[in-house]
Amino acid sequence: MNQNKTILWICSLLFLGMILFSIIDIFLYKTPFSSINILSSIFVKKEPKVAIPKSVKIKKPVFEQYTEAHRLIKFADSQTVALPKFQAKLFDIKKGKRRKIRIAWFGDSMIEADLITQTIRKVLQEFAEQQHGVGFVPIQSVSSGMRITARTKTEGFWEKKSFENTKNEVFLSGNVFTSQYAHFYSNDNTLGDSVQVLEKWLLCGDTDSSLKLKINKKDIQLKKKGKNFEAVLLDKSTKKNIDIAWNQKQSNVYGVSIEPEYGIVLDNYSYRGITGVELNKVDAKLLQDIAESQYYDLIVFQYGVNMMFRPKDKNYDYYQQIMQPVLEKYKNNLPNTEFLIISCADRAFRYNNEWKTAIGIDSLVKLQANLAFKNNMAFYNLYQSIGGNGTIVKWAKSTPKWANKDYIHPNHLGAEAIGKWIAEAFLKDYKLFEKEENKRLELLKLQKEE
Amino acid sequence: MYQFSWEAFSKELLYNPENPLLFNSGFFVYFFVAFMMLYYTFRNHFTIRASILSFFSLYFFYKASGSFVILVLISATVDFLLSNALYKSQKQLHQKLYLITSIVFNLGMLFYFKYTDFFISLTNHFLDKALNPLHILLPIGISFYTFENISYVVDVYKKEIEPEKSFINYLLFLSFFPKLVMGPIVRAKDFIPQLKKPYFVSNEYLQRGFFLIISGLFKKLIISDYITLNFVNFVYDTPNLHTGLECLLATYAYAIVIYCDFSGYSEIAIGIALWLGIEIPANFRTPYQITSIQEFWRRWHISLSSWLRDYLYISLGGNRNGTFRTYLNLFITMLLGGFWHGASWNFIIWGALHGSVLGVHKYFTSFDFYKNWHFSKSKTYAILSGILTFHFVCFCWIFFRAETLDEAQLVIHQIFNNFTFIGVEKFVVNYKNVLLMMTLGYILHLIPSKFSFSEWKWVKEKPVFFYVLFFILFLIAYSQLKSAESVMPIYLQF
Repeated sequence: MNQNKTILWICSLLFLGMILFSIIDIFLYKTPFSSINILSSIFVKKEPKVAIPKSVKIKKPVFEQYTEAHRLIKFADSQTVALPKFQAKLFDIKKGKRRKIRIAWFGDSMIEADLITQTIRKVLQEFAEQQHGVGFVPIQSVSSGMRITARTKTEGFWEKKSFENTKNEVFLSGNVFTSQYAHFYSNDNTLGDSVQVLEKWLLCGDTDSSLKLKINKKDIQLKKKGKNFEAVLLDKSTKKNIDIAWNQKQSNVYGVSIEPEYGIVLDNYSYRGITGVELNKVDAKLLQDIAESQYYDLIVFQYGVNMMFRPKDKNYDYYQQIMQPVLEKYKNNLPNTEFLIISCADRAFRYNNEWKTAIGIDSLVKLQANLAFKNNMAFYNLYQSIGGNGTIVKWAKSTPKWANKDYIHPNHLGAEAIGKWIAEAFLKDYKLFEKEENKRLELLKLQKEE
Repeated sequence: MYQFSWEAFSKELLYNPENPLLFNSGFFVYFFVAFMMLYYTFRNHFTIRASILSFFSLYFFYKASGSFVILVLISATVDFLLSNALYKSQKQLHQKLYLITSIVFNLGMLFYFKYTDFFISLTNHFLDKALNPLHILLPIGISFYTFENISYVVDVYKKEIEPEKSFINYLLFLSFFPKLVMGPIVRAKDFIPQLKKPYFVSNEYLQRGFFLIISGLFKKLIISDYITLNFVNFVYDTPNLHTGLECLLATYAYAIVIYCDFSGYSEIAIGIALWLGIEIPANFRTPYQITSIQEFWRRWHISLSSWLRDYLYISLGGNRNGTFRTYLNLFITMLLGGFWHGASWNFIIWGALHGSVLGVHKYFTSFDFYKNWHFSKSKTYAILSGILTFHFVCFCWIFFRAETLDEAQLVIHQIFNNFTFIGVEKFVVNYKNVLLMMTLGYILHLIPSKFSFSEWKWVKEKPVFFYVLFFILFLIAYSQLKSAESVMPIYLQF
């Protein structure tokens, strides 16, 4: 029997059924089938238009500056230098003074494998001294295989403690290692072909006063002060790598820093999945020892994406409550260090089967700005700087792709762009400082002449 | 208050690059109903019927890929004229010339749109040049219809078929909307004669078409899309953020995803064609229910593998020029078959891996000891060999899915060097729905064909109401899943 009529009937009835339910869905009450409503695209909701009077100009309160993109914000009446101490040191370097400026850059998976920070480091190092160096390299890391700027290899038995399983024994990186006669090798890949002196420091916190190591296959004995934080110089040469073998057991090994003699050192402290609150687990005494050695000039906190783990969240007030003590702890224990808070970037969720920017993102960015404002820290609105609402979806769908399909993480292309933007904001802040400083010096000169 | 918007309505009729037309688009419902009305009305006027079908097919193509529809028209015209000229020509030399022109035209078009940027990057890499890539957009379906053109002209040249006299029929063969976007690749000799028959749908066509459409939609929309969005994309975009175990499971997940996605789409196409009274041969036959790699290729993307066999492997000489040439031809066929899937080293490696292992398998099974080996006929051997083949296929899928060679290497590195069961509980809790969906996918796939849904007697001889109800139930399930909260990648959780 020819069933061609049956097929016409099936199609027509199905069509009518779908139209019927779509009408019910639009005009009567929402059914659970809104996501497959076939009329929704041609029936548009008419919103009453509200006219905004053009003549009313609202003077922006100081805090509202946080919405501005592409600049380091110091919440003040006029546009002032956001990181005056940092920029003064950079000014000294540009004037020929040979010194180091050290930055600790804390973050989550957004900066894992040195993404974003590798670009910032490169731009700032080239601006300051034309000297390169990767900075802090952890003994082991989940992302070491992905890191382009440094290659590391470990052998033997390493014991590891992390944020997850300790109360207060970890280093800034979130880990601390114990070497059981083990072996560590690292190569700095940031130099390319250039011949430049690199310093290799062991960062540790052992209380022993001496340390027997084999550095690049040569036995050496090092004297230590026995503090919670100590940087021990192992080698200073044009060699781009360091090979360390322990002739003894050593606890509290933090990592190695491979750095230039002068200029910018930028340490990447990424730890996957955290919100920054975990940094409270770093002991106050360790922070004090770091402060005593005047190790860090600037500390950057770049978190937020892990706060947004539920699509419908809009209220993150509890984050303020738990993050505030952490910021206070760092500020109080590191009095000579400046701080910068970088807001979260964009992330999207699937709402009604369409990827869209998280609905709570504005309130989270505002809250992060408020943390910076209250604690007198500088702020950078990364969310607005990358383009605001819809950016990550656009990046994940563009050709070439700039973000991964998790709609959270920029890939190497996106991260490079972000790195450049942040570095430009640093340099913009420097230009502002330079202008003011030159003006001040000019004035000083005039006063002396008078 | 909601109001009907003419502006939105007219926009719906135009191509939207953000939302190209597929079988699962809401627009397809309107499209298909309008089409069916006209198709049924003019069922007994073959030329009008073919014209309607062609018009709707071209419109479908326009809605799926915009102005690239012109390419289908151009290539249909060129090959229609060339094939007729070839047939009428008396001289062997002229015939050869027409054939070569057609092949060069089709491959040239495919090459330009699909491979230009790849060869620019090769030139830049090996010859140290700095040519800018052209970023040419790939017209949807071009890989399929160029192959259909080539096989058609070759068949005419070999005198296996007479060229089609009606341009509309030829255009329809090329642009037939159910198979235009993702295949299967059809042959003119099977397809065109069916256009000249009355619109007849047997009971069997009705039921088989229904089963294929529902099962295709289920595989594509429910299984494949869910696992892709909520698991595979996370892992393959950031393998370094995942353990070896997660990378391995994502690879198993991808194996079922690619099967469900591709075979699902093919099944919908075949099902719709059956409802239009046109039969297209099956494109997939449970490809993981296998005992050897050779069998895999007899069951996977059959329309492509048989095309490659008939028009590439045999044209290269097949097995007629000695053992070495046979293996070489096999390898070249698979290598080019891999390259057909996309312009990157990953697809070349994928093809080369399959080509090599097909060769090894052929060599191994040609020995007398294998033929006389008792164990090779046992069930245990079949199971072991099936598991081994499946894992080899999965290994190759890594190259197929990864976007770059580095990414593929990273996934392999994670599986072999960072394999750990630490955090597995968290993984199971987070991805439980994905794991259930994967299990469902594999169970449905591994059900022996005698228990298959299509064989169930109760499906047959049902009233219209039954089919409509079944579709509605499916839509309810689909809608629930579509609006379900998405699964987050596990690395976001501490």
